[in-house]
Amino acid sequence: MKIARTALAVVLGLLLAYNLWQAVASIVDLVGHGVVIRGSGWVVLIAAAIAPVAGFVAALLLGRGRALWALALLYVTALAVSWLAFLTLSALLARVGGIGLT
Amino acid sequence: MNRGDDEALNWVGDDDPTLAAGWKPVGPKVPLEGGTEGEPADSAAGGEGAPNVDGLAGASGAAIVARQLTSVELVVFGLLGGVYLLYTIGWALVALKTPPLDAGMLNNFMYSVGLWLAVAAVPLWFGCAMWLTRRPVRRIVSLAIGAIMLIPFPFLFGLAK
Repeated sequence: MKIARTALAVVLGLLLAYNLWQAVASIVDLVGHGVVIRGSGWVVLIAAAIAPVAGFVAALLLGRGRALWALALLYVTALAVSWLAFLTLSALLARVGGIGLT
Repeated sequence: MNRGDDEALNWVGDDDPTLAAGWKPVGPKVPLEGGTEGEPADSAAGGEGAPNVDGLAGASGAAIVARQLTSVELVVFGLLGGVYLLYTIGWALVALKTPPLDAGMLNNFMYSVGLWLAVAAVPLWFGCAMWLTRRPVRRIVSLAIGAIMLIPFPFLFGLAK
């Protein structure tokens, strides 16, 4: 049981880490290409980096003492919501004009 | 040969003397008070929901689960269910209309899966709220948080263009 819970944490953790890496790579990419990130842009980009971590921690805490299927459901939901947050924040970044060339 | 017709109207054992008309309790008696070892936190605040839950304040968590939904809760769940359904449709339209990424095989694959994961996030959140909470108050609060967090902004921005 312990092994299954650990395996779930590792697999879903890796998938969520991809989302974190995606957000960090976006920031590095934008800065590397000389794009100016304004205040609102930083808020959105940092939120995109925090979202997968927050999702993982939330699933871990809410899943404590619950059945394995409940823990799996929470992890998968965290991953799905993390992607939803990424898409929302991507759309928001373009909308609020948090980045620009000057 | 009327026996066959009569048999159709009877169950074997209908004339069992231990059967009485109407219902009767089965199994050992369970005291209403003091059965709190199951969910101490939940039963301690069991009367927090709708006003008519007050009578269940001392009952076990199982009794709270088993009770019928009040009409207010039914309306709230119905409304939130409708909202979640609309969100799912909104995200599905986003997933269908978003052009594929061109950033390498892994990124393209992850992005196309991620688009549909975002669609699935709405029913998944709904499922978590319905299955993993016991008390109606918690269920409604978690559904309300989801109703704020899962708004299909990319879809709304697309409309506003």
